[in-house]
Amino acid sequence: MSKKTFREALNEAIAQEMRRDENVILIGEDVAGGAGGKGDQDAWGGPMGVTKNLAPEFGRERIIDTPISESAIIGTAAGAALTGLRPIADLMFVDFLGVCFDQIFNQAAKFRYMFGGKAKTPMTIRTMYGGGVRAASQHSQSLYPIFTHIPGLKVVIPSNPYDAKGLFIQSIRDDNPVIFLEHKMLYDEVGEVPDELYTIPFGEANFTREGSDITLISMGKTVNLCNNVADEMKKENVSCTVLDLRTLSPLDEESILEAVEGTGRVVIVDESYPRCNIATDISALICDKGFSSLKAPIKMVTPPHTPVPFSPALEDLYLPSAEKIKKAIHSILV
Amino acid sequence: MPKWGLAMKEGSVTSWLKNEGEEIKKGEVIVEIETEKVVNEFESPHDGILLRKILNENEKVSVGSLIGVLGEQNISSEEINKFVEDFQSNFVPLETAKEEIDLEKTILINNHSINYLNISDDKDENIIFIHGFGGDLNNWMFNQEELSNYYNTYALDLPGHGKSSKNIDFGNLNFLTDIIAKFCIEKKLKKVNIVGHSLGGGIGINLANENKDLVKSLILISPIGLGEEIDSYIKNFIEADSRKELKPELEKLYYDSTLITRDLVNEVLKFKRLDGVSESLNKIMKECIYENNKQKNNLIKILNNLKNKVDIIWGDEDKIIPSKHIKNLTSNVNCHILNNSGHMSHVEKSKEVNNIIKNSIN
Repeated sequence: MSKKTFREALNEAIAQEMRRDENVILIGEDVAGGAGGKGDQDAWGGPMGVTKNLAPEFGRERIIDTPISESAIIGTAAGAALTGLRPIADLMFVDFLGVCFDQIFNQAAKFRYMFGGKAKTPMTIRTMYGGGVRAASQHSQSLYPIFTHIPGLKVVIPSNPYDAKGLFIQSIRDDNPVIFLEHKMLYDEVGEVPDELYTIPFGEANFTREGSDITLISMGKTVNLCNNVADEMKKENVSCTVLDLRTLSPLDEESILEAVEGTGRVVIVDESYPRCNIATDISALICDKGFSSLKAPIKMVTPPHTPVPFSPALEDLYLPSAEKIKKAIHSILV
Repeated sequence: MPKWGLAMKEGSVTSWLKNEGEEIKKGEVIVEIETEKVVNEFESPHDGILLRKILNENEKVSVGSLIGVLGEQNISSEEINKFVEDFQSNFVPLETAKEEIDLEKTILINNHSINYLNISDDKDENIIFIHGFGGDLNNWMFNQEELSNYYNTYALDLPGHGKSSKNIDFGNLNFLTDIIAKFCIEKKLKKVNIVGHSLGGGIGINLANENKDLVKSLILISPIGLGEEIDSYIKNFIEADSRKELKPELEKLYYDSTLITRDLVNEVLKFKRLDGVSESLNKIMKECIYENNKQKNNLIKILNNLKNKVDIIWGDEDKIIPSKHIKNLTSNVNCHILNNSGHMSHVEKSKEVNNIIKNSIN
């Protein structure tokens, strides 16, 4: 057990699982970098350095740099998975899912179903999401609701280094296509992470705070925002429960309903676009199955229905913030 | 704010059990305190009146902080204020937790990395603490530090547990006993007193029997091997894979089930989810504890024939192994049944257990 960054936790997950299972391969743009010509081998290790040091250890047959073609990357991974490998495919920015979406939602997601269970597609797609780094509209989106919408895909979204490593190992070992989402601002977050291999089951949300007045539900980076708000609200004598969903598909419905029952007042914080996002999905669930626990309308803290701004001032106004969450809390407190 | 165990850096009050102005006797529980790892009761160190409660409920403060003021009857408000002011202005939070965690070391025994914590090495007698099934050396957090004032103490993580190797070759009693015996050789401990809990108690009995010269006193807390009955807790502990399944099992361990916090359940889940743990725990369960829903080992005769000084401690409300197993023992064993205590007397009744240990060794 030692302090590791989110980035190091992921690197360990991949390296240790690749040592344990020779069928695991990694494929994507510059996951090693530098091949050919006079370039340094392993020059990049991915745009955020998550896959550094893997190419020297596992070789270029298992760590595969690709041309800039998302449909080739995902399509290759899907085919490789069908024929017995466990590929990890890097869809660098979730914003690029449009280019390869058929491979994901019509092919990989449906093979097992349409082949009557005779095929399995044990692939993991890792992808970066989220704003706050002034990367503009086409590199800052949080498109996980689109994956959650598709039956046959599992959707995983860790908020801290411990969860990142455990959930990633679970993703590789799962025999189904898993979309693993990494918020681009989380890579330097530090946490206690075991040195050994371990897993975290899907469909298990995590209570990071417990209180009796307000329930905050979120996923990925915004969980940390909720934790900070919960700690600050104590000064106003308001105690908050914070629920970190960890996986969006499968969803831990039981914990959501338990969290709602405990307080009756819910705020859902979701960085993705407001229409048809996870917040609306969970709101419907709570209204259907947790209605009698509710003491106030369900509040959602999401960006407005516009693309992510490039201008720093506008982007800061756009994203969920502590102030917006507190405002939502106050609007439903007695 | 007391310091329980080396890792504790801060704590909070979950509830005050006495009011300001109330008379307190030494040893009475005045407040319940929660830390990252555990909730427990804080007993008054002195007789007196609870003059002031400083810390409010659910506020986290560092170890050593002022949480309340105890004093004699006729102390004025101004005097109390001044005392509090002086304390707070001179108070520096303890920052030693980080260095102390580094006191844990590992040693290779029979190809297994064994994690252990040694406090004190200049005393005359040695104690080895052996935890029970599914536990780790932190189970002794209310015992080890206190007893290190008098003895050299060594608390180990058994194979498959804590920070020791998770993949184990064998799970039987002899294998586990051999680890302890070899540990003593490696650390050059010629004579040791064993404090063993549950499975650790069984290991202690076996160790004393196999190594007549090594073990001096045996202090056993709810040990295995002295009767047939054992709760399905062990099987359920291994199978539980969620908070919902695990919490009621962990609550069985204590007389006061409120000691099981959500954080504690999470920590145990994290341990169980490490690669190799399930397999190892299963091995130990099958080879060392259960057979057809009954206890596997029968150590009654062995224990009754030991020449060592033996003290057995059992909580009268032990839901895992019933305290009636004490009836199978002969009179050369000192039996202590503790009231309002469950399977974990060393946690729930640590003061009494520490005293019994001291009396046994001295």
